[in-house]
Amino acid sequence: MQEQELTTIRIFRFDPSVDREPRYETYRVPYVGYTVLGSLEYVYKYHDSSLAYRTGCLGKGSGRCGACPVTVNGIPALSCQRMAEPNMTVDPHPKFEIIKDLVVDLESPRQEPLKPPVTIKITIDRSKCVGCRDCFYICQARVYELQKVDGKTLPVPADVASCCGLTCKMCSTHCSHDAIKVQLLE
Amino acid sequence: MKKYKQEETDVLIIGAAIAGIRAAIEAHDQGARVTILNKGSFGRDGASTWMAAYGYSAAMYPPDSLDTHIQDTIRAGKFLNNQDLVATFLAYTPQGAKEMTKWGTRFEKETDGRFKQIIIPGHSYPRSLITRMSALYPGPQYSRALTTQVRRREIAVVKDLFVTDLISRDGHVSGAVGIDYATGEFRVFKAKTTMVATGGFSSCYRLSTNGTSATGDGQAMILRAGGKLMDMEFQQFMPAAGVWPPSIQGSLTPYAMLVSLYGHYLNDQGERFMERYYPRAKDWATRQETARAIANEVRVGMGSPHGGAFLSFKHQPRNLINRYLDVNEDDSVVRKLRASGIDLHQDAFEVAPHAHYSQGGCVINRKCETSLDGLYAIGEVVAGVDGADRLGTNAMAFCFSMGIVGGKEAALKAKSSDFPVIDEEQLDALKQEAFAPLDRRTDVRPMEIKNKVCQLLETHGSFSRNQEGLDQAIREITDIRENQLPSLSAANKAGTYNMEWVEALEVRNSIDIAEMIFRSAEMRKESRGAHERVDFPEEDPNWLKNITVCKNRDQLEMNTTPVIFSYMSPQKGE
Repeated sequence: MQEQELTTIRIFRFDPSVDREPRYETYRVPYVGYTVLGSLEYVYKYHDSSLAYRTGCLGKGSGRCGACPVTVNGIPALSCQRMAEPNMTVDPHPKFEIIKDLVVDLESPRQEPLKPPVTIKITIDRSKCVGCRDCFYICQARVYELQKVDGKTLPVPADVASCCGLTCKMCSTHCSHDAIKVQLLE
Repeated sequence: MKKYKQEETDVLIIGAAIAGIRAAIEAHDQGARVTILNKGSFGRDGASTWMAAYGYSAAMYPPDSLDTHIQDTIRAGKFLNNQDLVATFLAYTPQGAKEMTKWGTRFEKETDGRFKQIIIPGHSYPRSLITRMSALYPGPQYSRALTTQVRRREIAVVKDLFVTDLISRDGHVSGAVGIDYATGEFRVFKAKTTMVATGGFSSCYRLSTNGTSATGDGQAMILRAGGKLMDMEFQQFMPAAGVWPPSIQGSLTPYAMLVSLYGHYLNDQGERFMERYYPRAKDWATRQETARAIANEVRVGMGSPHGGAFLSFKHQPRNLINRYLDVNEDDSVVRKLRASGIDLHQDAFEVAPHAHYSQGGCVINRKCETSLDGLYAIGEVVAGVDGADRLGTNAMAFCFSMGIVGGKEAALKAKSSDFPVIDEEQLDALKQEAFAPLDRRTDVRPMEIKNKVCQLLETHGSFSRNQEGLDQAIREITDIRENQLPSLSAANKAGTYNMEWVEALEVRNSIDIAEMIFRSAEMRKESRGAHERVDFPEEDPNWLKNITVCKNRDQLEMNTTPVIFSYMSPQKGE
């Protein structure tokens, strides 16, 4: 079995019950052919079993259970879909309360969420949208808000900074009228 | 002054996935106070349902019928199913399809408004509903529909809670205890009726298509509580899920690719070995045959570097591959292969059999009652609906139906029950067990035991089982239980979100699961459905009985019980 190339990963560590403030720890991990989640698992197994991160479906399929949003190099992403690369920094998702390290409570937004740079463009074709709100319910990062649009209450992508972008796309995948496009902002 | 705060509810449901959530809805609508616990957040981690592939089967329209669906299920189960359960629960599947649709699952419809249904091997008619977008992975739609229904009701949802044991005494269950991940607290839940909906044990295997949560916690806690389990030897595998590169591990897409793109399996010599095993069907042999062949190549040392086979499309014309890649460019696995440097025109990637679904589990009756008073069980944790081999796309349908029935029965029973009195000394003992991996200062890490159990299950609890191997597996698992488990200790001693502590508790459960699998497989001296023995390669009609397991003092007690053919008898030559 060939030796795997290793890189350095920097991971946010914070246990609110014992730490006064967060810190970063660095580890050596493989990355070629790995997702970020795979690199985190490597840290847990071989370096530091005190690292906490969420795993759901482990990205095994084209489906997304949405359990694992994190921030990679400043941009939100699902750790199970985001490919690992050299010299990554991994932080918790900026919008939600931190339980420990990379584990957040996806039902509790922070009082003061961090705002990463916007890298995604979400367009809704209103001629196709029927207002079923599937996107609003299915989004794990609460990107959508229900707002009045032309007299109707419709989902609007209000918080695109929190969007996990191309690693997720659950909204556009599951829109049964093909009304949503999620693209990289050029 | 009570030492433990006992959180009270009428119906306590352990496991918030398709079965548990449907039961919570039903029990609530019957007027019961409901609390549902999950080993993860709500609707995302801690469950396998949200990863379900393909659809939901129901006999909706003539010429299809419930009878035909029942017969197909029993035939697929090789006549080991509990026919009463099959008939009872399948009857609810059309209702389930309509409810799921009403709640927001976008099952595809034909132009005349009928559900679109596709045919799946083993079904006599097209029966599987598919979701309109993302037919292969309806999971997020199930999640969105079911969690919304819970949120609209007064149902208490407790997330990130690992249930370590049932509170059971003298044949009666009064609730459950567990660890709150976020705080490390020991929590006690007292209930008039308790329902286990914790799923299967595919994650006990090294390679599984499930997430990390299906570690058989429910089966193990029921065993410890004095309940009865059955059919533990029947574990279903998917023949060729991804193994390497690691980003595609566990993915079912490679098997779909094999079918659409006519791939070949190659061993580490580059040989198309399926030609040797199955000269006619070759790479398109049945799932079982394929899995067996790949496992065998690995066993004789011709497997791919990461313990499987290579899946190759190199023999296909470039434009055929390119067209597939274009059409599927958005697919996660296609993207990951490309990002990992795999060029399908010239590279192969690795696949292997993966544990997928557990037919075995807790014995129940048609009301979802277990052998313990006050305890119900629903969903994949249950045995009897699938028999020796599950009919594809029946899982979601069965789980949902059991949620309807179990939820109603548990609520009705709760109405006529008083709150139990729980002995605090018993809680002391349960707490000690739960905290042992934190408290011990010994040196056996969870990962060590897990690796050993996985290796035993892969070698002796998968394909081509045999007497010698099973005897050895039983010896080794007993040794692990007696000599290693008492020293199991997490190196990470933190109270908050301690994944290693959880892993230790899961490993404790997986030892019981593995032992039940090996003993049941050893006892069944035939091959049937998902259980295959090279020393007894044929089906034996004398084995038309189920193997049951329960705990007697500290030993496993094995028994058999003949199948009752209340609905359909096996024909000669079946």
